[in-house]
Amino acid sequence: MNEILKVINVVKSFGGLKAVDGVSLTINKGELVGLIGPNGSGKTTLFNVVSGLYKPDEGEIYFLGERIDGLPSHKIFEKGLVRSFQNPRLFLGMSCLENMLIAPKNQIGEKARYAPFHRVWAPQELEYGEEAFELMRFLNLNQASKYLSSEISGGQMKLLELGRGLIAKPKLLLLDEPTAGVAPKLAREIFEKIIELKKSYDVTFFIIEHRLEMLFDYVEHVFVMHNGKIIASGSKEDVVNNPLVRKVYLGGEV
Amino acid sequence: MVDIIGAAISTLTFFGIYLILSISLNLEYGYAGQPNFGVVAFYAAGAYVAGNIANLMLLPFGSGLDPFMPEAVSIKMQAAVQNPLLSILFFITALLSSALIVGAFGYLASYPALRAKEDFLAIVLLAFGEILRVIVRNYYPIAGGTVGLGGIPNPFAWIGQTQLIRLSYMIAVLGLAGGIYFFAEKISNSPYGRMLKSIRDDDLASSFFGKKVPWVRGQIMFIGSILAGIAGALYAMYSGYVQADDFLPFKTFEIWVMVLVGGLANNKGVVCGALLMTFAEKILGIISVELSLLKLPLEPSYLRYVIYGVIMLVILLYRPSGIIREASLKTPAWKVVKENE
Repeated sequence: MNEILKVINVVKSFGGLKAVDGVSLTINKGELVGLIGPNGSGKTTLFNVVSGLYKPDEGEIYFLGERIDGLPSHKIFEKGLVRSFQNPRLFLGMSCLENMLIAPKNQIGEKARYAPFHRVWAPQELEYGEEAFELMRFLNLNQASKYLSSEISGGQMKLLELGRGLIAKPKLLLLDEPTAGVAPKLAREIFEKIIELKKSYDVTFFIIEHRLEMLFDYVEHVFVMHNGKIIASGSKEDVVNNPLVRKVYLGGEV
Repeated sequence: MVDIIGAAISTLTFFGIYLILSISLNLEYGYAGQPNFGVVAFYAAGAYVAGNIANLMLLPFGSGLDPFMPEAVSIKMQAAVQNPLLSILFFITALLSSALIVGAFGYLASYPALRAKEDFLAIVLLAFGEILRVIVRNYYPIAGGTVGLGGIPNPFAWIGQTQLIRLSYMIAVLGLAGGIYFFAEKISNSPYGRMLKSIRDDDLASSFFGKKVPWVRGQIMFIGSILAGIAGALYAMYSGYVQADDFLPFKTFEIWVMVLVGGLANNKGVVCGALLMTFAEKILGIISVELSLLKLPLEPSYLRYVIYGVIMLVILLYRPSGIIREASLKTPAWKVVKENE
C-alpha cells in the first residue's frame, strides 16, 4: 500500500462558514506535496482537522490505512503524524534544546513512576540529547541550543519548529508555511534542508506555502484550495496552466 | 523576654511545613502552570485527616466519648504520652493517610477543570477552599464545628521534656521537608519535568507532541495535593488543635508569595522564599506584640498584610522572576551542549 494519508469528503464548518467543504485528497509515501491557496481558503483548517485539533463534521480521514478522524491529537502523534504551526508555537520558557527534546516518542523519563529514578532514563535521554544536537547542528541551530526559544530570531524559530517535528521521527510531517516571515535566502535554505532531510529521515512532507516560485522548484504534487474546496491538483505544470487557478490565486485572466 | 530557642524551634518547624506547601505549589504552578488557588483546602484536609486518625487510634474503642470534648482530648493526649510505640505508629499512619486521602481529594477537586483553561482551575479551587472551610466550621461530626478538633498529640510527647519534644518534632519535619525537596528536584530535573513545563508554556502544542495534557495535569494535582496533605498533618500534630479559621484564604496567598518571591519552577528559589517569608512572619509577629503595648491608633497585627504586599510589589518590580531565576533542567542531554561548546 502506497497511500499514507487519505482524506475523504471532509467538511468542517464554524457557524455558517464552511472552512473545509468536502475535501478529498490522497498523499503517497515518500512524496513532497504542496498545498496552496489564497488566504482564508481553509488550508490551515484542513491541517487542524487532520492533526486532530478539530473533529470533522463529515467525512473520513485514514492514516496508513487506519481511521484517525476524531482521535485526540496526542494519539495521532503517536501514529506518526506530526505537524508544525504557521506562527511558531514553541515552548517559550524553555531552551531550544529542551524544545527539541519534548518531541521524541516513548520517553521513559516522562512517566511519573520512572522520573525520580535517574538511572532508568538517563541513557535514553543522553541518546536523544545527542540526536537532537546533531539535528540542530544540521539546521545551524547548535549555537542557539542553550538559549531560551523566546530569545532566538524568527528564522531560527521556523528552523526549530522543523527540527522539533523531525526528531519525533514522523512518517508524515505537516508543515504550515515553513518559510513565513523568513528572508528569501533563508527560505531557500530551509527548502534545501527539507529535501536533504526527506532523504535521510524517510518522511513524507505535506507543506502549506505561499512562496510559489520556491515551492514549485521542489514539490512533486500540488493541491490548490479555494473557499474550502480543492479546485485543482497535479504536477506543477498542471496547476500553473489551470485557468481556474490562475483566476483565483495567481490573479491572471481566464 | 522572648524565648529565643523556643522561637527558633517553632520558626524552623513552620519553615519545614511551609517549604512542603511551597514545593507542592511550585510543582503545580511553577512547573505545570496549574494555578492552585486552593492550597489551603488541601492543607486543611490534611490536618483534619490527621485529627481523625488521632480519634480512631488513641480514643479507646467503644468508650462512647464525644471526641471533641475536653475529656476525650485529654485521654488522647495521655495515650500518646504513655505509649511511645503507639505515638510513632500514629505519626506514620496519620502522614500516610493524609497523603493518600488528600491526594485523591486534590485530583477529584481539580477534575472538572482539568480540560478547561487554567483560569477556571484557579477559580474552582479558590471557591473550593472557602466552601470547605465553611462546611468544616458548621459540621460537627468529623470536624468538631466551631469547637474545633483538639487532642492531636505530638508524636514525640512521650519524651517528656517540652523543649526536647519540640526539637525532635522540628527535626522530623525538617527531615521530611528535605526528603520532599530531594524528590521534587528529582522529578523536576527529568523528562517528566520538561513535559510539565511544555504543558505550562503551550498546552495545545504539547498535545500535538503526544502529551496527554489533562491526564498529566491531574497527575500533578494529585502529587501536589499529597504534599499539601502531609504539610497539613504536620501542622495538626504540631499545634495539637485545629479549627476552621486556621485555614483562611490568606494562607493560600502566603504560600503564593513564598513561591513567587523565591522564583517559579525553581526548587532552590522556593527554599529561599519559604525561609524569607517564615522569618518575616515571625519577626513581624514579635514586633506587632511590642507595638501593641504602645497603644497605637491602629491594630499592629494587620501590619504583616501590608508588609507582605510591599515585599510582593518590590519583587515584581525589581526581580520579576524571583530571587533565583528559572534555569534549564539538568538532565544528561545538557552534557551534550557543554561538550560541544
